[in-house]
Amino acid sequence: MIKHLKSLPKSVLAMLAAALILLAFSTVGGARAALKYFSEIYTGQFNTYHIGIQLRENGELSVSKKWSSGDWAVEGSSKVLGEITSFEFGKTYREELTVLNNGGISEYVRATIYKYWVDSEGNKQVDLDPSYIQLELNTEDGWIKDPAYSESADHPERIVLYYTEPLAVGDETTAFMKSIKVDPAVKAVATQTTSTKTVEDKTVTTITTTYTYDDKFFALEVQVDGVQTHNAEDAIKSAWGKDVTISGTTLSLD
Amino acid sequence: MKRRNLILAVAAVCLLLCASVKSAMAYFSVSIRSEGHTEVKFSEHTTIEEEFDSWTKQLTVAYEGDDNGQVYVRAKGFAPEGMTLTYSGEKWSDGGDGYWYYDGYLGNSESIKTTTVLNVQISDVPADAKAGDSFNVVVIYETTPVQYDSDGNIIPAASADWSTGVKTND
Repeated sequence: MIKHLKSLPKSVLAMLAAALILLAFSTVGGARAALKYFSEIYTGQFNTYHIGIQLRENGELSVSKKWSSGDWAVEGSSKVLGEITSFEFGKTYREELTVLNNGGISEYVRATIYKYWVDSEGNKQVDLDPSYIQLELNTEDGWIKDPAYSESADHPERIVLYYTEPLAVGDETTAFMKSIKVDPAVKAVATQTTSTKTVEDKTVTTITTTYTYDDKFFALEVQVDGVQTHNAEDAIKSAWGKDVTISGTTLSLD
Repeated sequence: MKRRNLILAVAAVCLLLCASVKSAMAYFSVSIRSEGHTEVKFSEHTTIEEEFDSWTKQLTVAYEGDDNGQVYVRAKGFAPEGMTLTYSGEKWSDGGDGYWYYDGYLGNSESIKTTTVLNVQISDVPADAKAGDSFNVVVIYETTPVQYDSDGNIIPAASADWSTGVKTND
């Protein structure tokens, strides 16, 4: 075998050597990661490789997810709209949503909001207008809205926001959404029927109003994503399918 | 020999590519989702009873709905030429546009029946009118869901847009 190798041209030998060296290094890297992974129980140092994210509603935990002890740890109720106990049209309800980095590495984050109507059985009502559900979004303080994927003609219920700076470990973003209200104009979407009859010499007129949005539920669904900051453009493209540009540390949409 | 060199070179490139693919798959990412929903309920039912006595039409507007089903009410009467209609009723006022408006709205607490009365008195009846003569005094009444300003406050009935999306089938 060695005799055959010796007979190879030097260029081929050099390529082989380079390939073997690179392969060896990548293997060593994996072995090193695996070693750290198993050793974290004793040292806790592997935390630097953990990613995690937390969605907070009005300063309280809504849901969090974090890679821990070899598995994803999920905590929280996974609920939003928790403060609306008595609903009124046109009233603004506080709904401050933030993202907190509870992982061990800094990350870029984004938030996707879905607003829509459902019936009492939880079925989406695609023919009811989500624009009556009005959100106060924050497109300043580090958040930018992706116009191509927000309230588009084919997906009027969806809004996508990106946080432009990396979120350091333990840090929390500013609120990407501040409040929610339902436009009272939704009450004018109705039909009225009028009937008149005579009862005991009295003329009785009955007007019945049937509201299109009566007995419906307005729904809010929020997804937050985090991705590593190392090699961020490729990582974001791979994880989120989105082309972005990172200038320095600042993210912008292509 | 040349063929073997080529195979070795391709193998080397494949090894390099495999190493790259491995790193490309190793991005750290995480995703979570929360959701919530709140019911919108605002059914309502309005009944108007009209009683005639002593040249006065008494309109009783009864409303049954929930907290979110408030409605404005307004009424307008038509009488033969020469006759006069005089309106009176607690919390009713002239809107200046031919309609009399109930000040505020009906339906302000959950599942409660509320009523209001508007009297329409007919005067200047022709002196030669006798028993058996007939003439028409018609009162029309309308309701429409309450409307809000940009701060979420309910606006006065007379200022509301009565031609909003409500379709009336009568």
